[in-house]
Amino acid sequence: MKLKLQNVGGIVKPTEIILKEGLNVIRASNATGKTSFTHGLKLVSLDNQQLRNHPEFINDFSDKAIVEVDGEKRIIEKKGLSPMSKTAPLFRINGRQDIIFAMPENEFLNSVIKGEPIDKFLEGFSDAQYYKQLIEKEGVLREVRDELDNEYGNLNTEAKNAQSIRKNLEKEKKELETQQKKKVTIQTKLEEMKSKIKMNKEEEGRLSQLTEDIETFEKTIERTKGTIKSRDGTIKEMEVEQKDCKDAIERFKKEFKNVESTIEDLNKKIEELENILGEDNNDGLYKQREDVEGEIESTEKNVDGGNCLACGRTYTQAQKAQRLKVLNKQKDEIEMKIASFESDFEKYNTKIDYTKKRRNEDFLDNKQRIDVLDSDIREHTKSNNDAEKEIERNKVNLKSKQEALELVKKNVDPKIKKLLDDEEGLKRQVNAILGNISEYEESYEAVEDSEKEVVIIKAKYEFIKRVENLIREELANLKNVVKNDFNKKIMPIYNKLGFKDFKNIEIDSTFRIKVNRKGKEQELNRLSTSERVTLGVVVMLAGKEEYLPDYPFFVLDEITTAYDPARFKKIIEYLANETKTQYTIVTAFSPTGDTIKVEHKL
Amino acid sequence: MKTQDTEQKFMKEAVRLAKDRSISVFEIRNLLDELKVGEQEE
Repeated sequence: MKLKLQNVGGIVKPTEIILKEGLNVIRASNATGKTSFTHGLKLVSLDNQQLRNHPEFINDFSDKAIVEVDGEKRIIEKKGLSPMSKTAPLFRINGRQDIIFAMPENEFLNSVIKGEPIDKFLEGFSDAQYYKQLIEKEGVLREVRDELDNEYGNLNTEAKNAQSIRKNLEKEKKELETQQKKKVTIQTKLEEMKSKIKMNKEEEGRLSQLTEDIETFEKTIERTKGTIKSRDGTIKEMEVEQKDCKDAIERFKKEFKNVESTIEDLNKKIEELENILGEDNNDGLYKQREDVEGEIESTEKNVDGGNCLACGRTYTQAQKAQRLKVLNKQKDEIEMKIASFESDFEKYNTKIDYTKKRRNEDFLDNKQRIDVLDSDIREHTKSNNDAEKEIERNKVNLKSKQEALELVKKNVDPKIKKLLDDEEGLKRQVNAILGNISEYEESYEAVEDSEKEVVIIKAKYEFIKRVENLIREELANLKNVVKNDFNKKIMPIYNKLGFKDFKNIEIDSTFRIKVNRKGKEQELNRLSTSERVTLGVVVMLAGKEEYLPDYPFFVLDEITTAYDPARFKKIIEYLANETKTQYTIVTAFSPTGDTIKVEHKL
Repeated sequence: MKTQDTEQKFMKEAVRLAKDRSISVFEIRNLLDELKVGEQEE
């Protein structure tokens, strides 16, 4: 394999390194050469997302690094965000470099060696990482749960309010019942007395008419008072809501400084993407794909038995195969670009929808709501003023009726007069209670909805919590599946290597490496450093065999192999003879020379 | 509400969004509303 590196770490000039199948010892005079070489291998294998965290792989004084394997080139720009630089890895490693590069800075290897739990690394071997993204501390699911919790808190206060109002309402109604009963008793007594005492018909008529009138006025006044009080409450609530709306608008304005131009920018980006992809555009990627597909089809169809059926030119099978290889590679590259642009396209569209939705919900809706509230407040205030005037008018009427009643009462028996007074007092109490009830009923209506809302929020909260628990279970399952995959391979590899120190090695339920020597479990810190390093590399080999069997490289750092050269010789032989790993690479320090040299024996 | 079905649908969608690395609180809330969680319960 011919590997070419340029502007990779400390390697500036184009440097060609020939790797042979089997063992390759990379010798360089200083740390930079070795490190840069492994950077080069990572540039060949890691995807763009992962490379974004490693600007040091590209030479400090250059914008882009170039790696080439047998003529296939990959250019990685430092400005990794540029859409044109989305080049694919030449050998896919799927984020599993931890089981390929046995070097001191490999955290996975270090955790194994130190006997620390390795579950966080195992997450990268399955979908677990996606699940984890959802529920970890700043994960969206957690955030939604906290938000719902918060909403529940606010609504719950209102719902509790509704409950206490309802309780008061019940109490008032009971009180009303008692008062009404008392009123009936007094009225019965009154009727009895009146029937005993002779009263002139006309007087009796006037008396009952006046009493009735007074009752009506008092009832009306109390009811109106109740309505005014409740309306005052509503006005206050509306003012609070109005302030909330204004605050929301302010917050929105802070977040989206210029919402229209944001949307316009996004639309422009979409237009650009449409142009790049465009079906009508002759340079568009869709068209390019179509062209390449057409060419592949015609190459397949027309070239037969050494000649091109279309043009008659000589065309060998080997030339045809080479041509198809080139065309398919072109097609793959176009497909990759299309996929990447389409995903950007989706993202921009989602962002536009989101921005528009926020603009409508946080800005336009709130603005409209403020206006509605303004007019509602005005209306309520006007209604209250009218109600106050009505109370005044009714009070005047009431007073004149009361005076008239006093005149009539002067002429009736004092015993009846006492009863009449009692009855009147009771009626007044009953009316006051009626007023209270109407006030409670109206304010209850205002908070009644939150009681219903609380039920929904609570259900959503419980639902999210349940989903979160499910995800946790799934996460644990997935980690255990990966753990078992590793465990299945560790001992067979260890035995194949011919090592006999341990009867058993496994990742235990706490995701730490556990060893058993002569039937006895042993703590990892009881083992020698070289034993632990060997264990670590065996665990890496188990992972490679399970998860990256076809990946062509395995890299061992000199520091790692130096602990126990005899054992590592066996590991290197094992890699060459028993696995599909084509190139075993050992990096080593060389005291002389300033270029990278490759040797094929230790 | 068929809770289990809803949960599965929700999980699937949430994980898909997480894989795209484009998931947001806003989308999860939308999903909850779409699935009408809570509204038919009891």
